[in-house]
Amino acid sequence: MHQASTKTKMFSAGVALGVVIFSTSLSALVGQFFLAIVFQAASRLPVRRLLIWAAYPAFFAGIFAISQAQYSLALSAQTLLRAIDAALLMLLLVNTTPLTRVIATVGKISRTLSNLAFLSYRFFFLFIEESERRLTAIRVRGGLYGSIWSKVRNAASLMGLLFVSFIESGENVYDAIKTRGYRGRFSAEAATAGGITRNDGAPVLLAALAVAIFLLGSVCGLP
Amino acid sequence: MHIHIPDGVLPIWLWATGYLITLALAALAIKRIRGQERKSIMAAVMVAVMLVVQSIPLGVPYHMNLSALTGIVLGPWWALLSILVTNIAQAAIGHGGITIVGLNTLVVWSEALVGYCLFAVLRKTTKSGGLRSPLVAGVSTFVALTVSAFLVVGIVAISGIDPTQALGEHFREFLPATGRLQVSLMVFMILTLPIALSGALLEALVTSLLVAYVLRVKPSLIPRGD
Repeated sequence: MHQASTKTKMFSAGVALGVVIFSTSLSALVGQFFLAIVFQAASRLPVRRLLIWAAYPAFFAGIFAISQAQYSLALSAQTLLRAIDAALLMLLLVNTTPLTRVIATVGKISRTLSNLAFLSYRFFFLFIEESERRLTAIRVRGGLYGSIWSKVRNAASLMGLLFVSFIESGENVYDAIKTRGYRGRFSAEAATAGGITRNDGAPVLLAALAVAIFLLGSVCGLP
Repeated sequence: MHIHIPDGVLPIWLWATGYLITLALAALAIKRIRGQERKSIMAAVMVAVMLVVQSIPLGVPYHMNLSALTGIVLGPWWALLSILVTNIAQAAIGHGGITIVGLNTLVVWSEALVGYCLFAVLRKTTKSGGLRSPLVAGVSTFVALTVSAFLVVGIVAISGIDPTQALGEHFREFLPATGRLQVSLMVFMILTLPIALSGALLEALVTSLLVAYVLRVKPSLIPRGD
């Protein structure tokens, strides 16, 4: 999947996602689940970690599923599986695709949104790193120990400090990229660049199998 | 409040309408913000801040958004674009469905919009003082998040469940005469509102403390702050 072209992967993820959304067969949704797992494993992605990440939307879907249980447990199971299947497919796409190419494709529709996405993508990792450093620093200084009020005060000061520091980092990044010739547009190769190659077999197979499972579920009337 | 309804549950007309309205508003926002290139940095910072904050586990099925703060800091139009990018990024990692991005953006933007408007109005109508802006920010955030929680309940209430999408042919005999099932709204409200309102209180407190700190250190970040 890593070698395949971005546009084929985006297209096949869209097809597979559409199949998950429109499937009315529990068996088909179970089949989609295993299909996503197999492709993740074949792409050498950390399947267990991705399953944990997929459990997060499933947890919130569970709230909705509980409110549907009065009609049918199968309906609740479908709700959960749709959440998990959709999450696994998106994680498969995101973990095998350079996001910069996907964002550059969005730039063909709106330059403002793609600029925002590019900058956010950069800032997100900078801020995660900064947050971890500051959190370690405050812990080492005993800032998160003591009375409830001192913990709350110090945690709030930490968040305020991080917020101000993020904004200053952002402004420094902007000044730096302006110095390097930024004129309001980031250059990146869009997902639509390049033709289809034999490496695109994997995503095409994913889409074909997803559709096949959907048809099996619908046409053959599997529950 | 972020809608965590998975894909394939809400009827197509509902999430498609959400997308259409969101895209129309985004197009309007892009027109309104022309020439404000430097503010795009602040907007990108707020996107990253929202993504970081929404990743913080609180040990309960709730996460903060800081959407009201985003509205206060950026104004409504940049806030809309930031929230749209945040929701797309989250849908890409499975946090909320891809089909729900439009509705999610509208719900979270309602927090930013209400937060922005209330902050501006309450600041004008309250006595000046050191704690005015932080308190007003906290109250605005709580009201904004409460409004969005009920907005989510409203969305669930009008959605029903499309049987052909959710159940298929096997369960037609269980359908009422109307052909549509209603989600058990009471169950949904009992499950989500206590958590949502408690979370609103927490986020109001956090926003209030954040605004107080920022006003001490870098007051220019809060428009119309003390």
